[in-house]
Amino acid sequence: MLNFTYPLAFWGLISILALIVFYFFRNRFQRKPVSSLLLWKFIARPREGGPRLNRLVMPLTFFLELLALILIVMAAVDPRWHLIGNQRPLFVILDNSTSMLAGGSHSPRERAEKYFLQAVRKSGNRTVRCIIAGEEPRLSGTFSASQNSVAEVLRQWQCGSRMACLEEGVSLGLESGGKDVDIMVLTDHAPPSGITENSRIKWLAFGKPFPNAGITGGTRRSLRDKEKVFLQITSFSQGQTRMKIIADDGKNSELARQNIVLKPGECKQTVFEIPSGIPMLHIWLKTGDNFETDDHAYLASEDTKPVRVLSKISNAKLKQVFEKALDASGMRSNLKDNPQILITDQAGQGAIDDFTWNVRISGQGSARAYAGPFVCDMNHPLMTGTNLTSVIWGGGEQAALPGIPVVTAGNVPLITDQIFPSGRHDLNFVFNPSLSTLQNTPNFPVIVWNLLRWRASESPGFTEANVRLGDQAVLIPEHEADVYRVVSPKGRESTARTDGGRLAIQADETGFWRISGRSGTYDFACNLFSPGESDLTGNVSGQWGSFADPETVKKKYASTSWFWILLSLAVLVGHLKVLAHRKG
Amino acid sequence: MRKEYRQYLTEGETAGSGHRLGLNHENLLGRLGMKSGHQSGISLDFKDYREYNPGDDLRHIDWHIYGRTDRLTVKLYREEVYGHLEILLDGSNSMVLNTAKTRACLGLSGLFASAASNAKCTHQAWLVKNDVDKIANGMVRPSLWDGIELDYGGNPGQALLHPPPFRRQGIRVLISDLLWQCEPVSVLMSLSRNAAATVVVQILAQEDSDPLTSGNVKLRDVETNEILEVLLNDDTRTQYLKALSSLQQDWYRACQTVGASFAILIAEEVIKNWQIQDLQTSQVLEVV
Repeated sequence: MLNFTYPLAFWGLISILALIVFYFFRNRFQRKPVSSLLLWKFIARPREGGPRLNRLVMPLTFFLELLALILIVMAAVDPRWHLIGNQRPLFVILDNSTSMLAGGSHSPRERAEKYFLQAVRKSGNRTVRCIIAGEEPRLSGTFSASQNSVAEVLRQWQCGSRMACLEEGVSLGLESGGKDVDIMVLTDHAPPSGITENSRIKWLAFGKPFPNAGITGGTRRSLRDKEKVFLQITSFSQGQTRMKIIADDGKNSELARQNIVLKPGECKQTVFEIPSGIPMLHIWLKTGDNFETDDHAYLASEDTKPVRVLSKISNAKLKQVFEKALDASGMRSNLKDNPQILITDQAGQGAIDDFTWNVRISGQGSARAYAGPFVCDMNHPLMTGTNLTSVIWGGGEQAALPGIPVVTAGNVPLITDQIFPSGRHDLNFVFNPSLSTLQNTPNFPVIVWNLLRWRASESPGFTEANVRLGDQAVLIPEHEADVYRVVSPKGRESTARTDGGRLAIQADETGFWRISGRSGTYDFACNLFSPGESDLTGNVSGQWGSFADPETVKKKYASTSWFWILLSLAVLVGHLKVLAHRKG
Repeated sequence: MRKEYRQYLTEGETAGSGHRLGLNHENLLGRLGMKSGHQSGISLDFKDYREYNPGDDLRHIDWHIYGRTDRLTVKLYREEVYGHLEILLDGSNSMVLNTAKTRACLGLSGLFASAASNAKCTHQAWLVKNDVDKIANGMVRPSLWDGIELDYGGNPGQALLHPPPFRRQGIRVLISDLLWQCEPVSVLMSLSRNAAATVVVQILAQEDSDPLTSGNVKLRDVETNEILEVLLNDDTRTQYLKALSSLQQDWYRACQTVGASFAILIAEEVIKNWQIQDLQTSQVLEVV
């Protein structure tokens, strides 16, 4: 069933048609008998040349009535005049994800930039604020069309994120702008359902679906005198894809080459070996597709940092359990001087210094065991990768332990973490292996491995030498220096300062980064590794939503119906005069 | 003849009872008339003497003068005239364009006949079609006329070029819309031969005199059924009025040439009160 926004205007249009039809039939040739055609011979036409086409001549009243009807229709349509003084701010959410660069010179970013500049030009004196939506939305700048800060926004909009939090960006815009704000989203994919139901949001997508294949994961591990490289390659195309994998040392010296064939949608893991001692490994996937960012992987050498552990455990079984787990971790240093971790079950053992973390184990005398449920702080570094379901944890009955609980059984803490101002951590374990099954599950060696890795990450060097695009690379310098020079993969140089003995670098470009300072030079690698960004099949172009909701229109535009009605009345008065003049 | 035609004639006859035919014409001629003529006649009133010419009536020779002077002299007596009116009614189909026009032309014929009777004149009604034929009972009162059918589709002007022998020195009145193709002078010269006076009355319907209709019109000639598509607007109306005026000017000049009177009457105005001012002004009719 058809619905009309302006039914009155529709009927007005019908009446215009009716008027035309009426006058057409009225102006048809009427038969009129005359005494003689003698006096009409002045308009006699020659028979040669066929019929003459007469111009349809309408009387003045017709045009006046037509004009009056058109003016009434205009009044019914209710055109509105833009109120310059009532301008709502415009928030532009810019998709900063890497997929915006797919397609080369015709990328969604290029098209979105043109639209953005056009929108800014049209915005007049309206305030425009930009939010660059990457892993998290951030306000980029405020300007109006008369200002030149658009260039600064475009400079910041590099599309260097592995994801775009557009919905969060929209929320930030709505929060920042209040009720009277227009939100415009420039991206390469369709909006999530329901978001454009808000009449203040206009969602514009400039993407195109492309077949693509890319590296969606990768790592390298030392294996004696060689290193193994693990790669995950995924195809996002409808057909079979053939490609080559070429590994070099970052200086065009080829180290390995492999051919690979992927079925449609297949995700394949591949492994190859390279000689050890390659600090920077560059892997190039030659696919020939339109998206190059995910065709390269950069893997920096992960320096293993052994941890010096001193074990002072008197309980034989407990000592056996810990020693076994420490040995299995592969991260324990043979050196015992100046230990980084002290593990003890002796109650009187005090702290050595602020450098050494203490792990105190108690509960050997307790006869109580807990079958769960356990409450775990899974955000704690110690608990990464653990699952305590079905575990029986034997331990004490102490209701209070110093520090923040990490694992508890009801109100009984089993592991706590005590943090000191120097950065030292003391961990308190309540654990009796005689009553526990924890040591028989993978959870125990995992907890020990987490402990060693956590302590190692606090050692000088990068906490992680390979980070994903948009993540922070954290460097703990050997010697604290005030200022460090950071060079991005594209050669962009900047300076950074340490904060609390750490230097955090936002990795917004894929490739090898270099940080140099007084204490030395450090390198880390940044990769996309994002299947969501590599999948370009869902990219679309289109527009969803608009700013033209009735409430907005009422606020921004003034009705001009009165003007059209007045005009139509004037025309009708003129029509009346013409009729009166004719009647004499 | 249609019933309404007789009604229109009667109406005209009634209207004519208030009028009399104007007889101030030098050439009126009649026998045993009621009015003295300007020529010598056979009345008892002596007029003059003159010398005898061969062929003169021997009975008018004054033998006393012959005896005294030995010259043949004849006595002339004053002529007594009795006027005669010939009413020529256009029998073409255009005269029945509308009721008013039919009513006016038939009524006017009756009016003239009645006015002639009031002036002690005889009259004869004629119907002009392919020929000029007498109307049955056309010499008596109009309500008794018969056989009038206004259905001729041709050109009455052709018939008027060769009229029948009208009574000499009679008054001839042509009642027509004159909307036919002819040379007015030729027609009038034929019509006014041996006539004491000729009167041409052009009777037009209102729509003949001014086509007020506007828009696209398919004109149909009621006589020939010929069709002409016309866009009537101010421009075409002006041209039509110009053509009508030109036609009337032609007839007016022709009337001046032959010494005839010319009157233009609008049917709708005639039938309002039958006071025909134009004919009264030109003394064709006199109010009794």
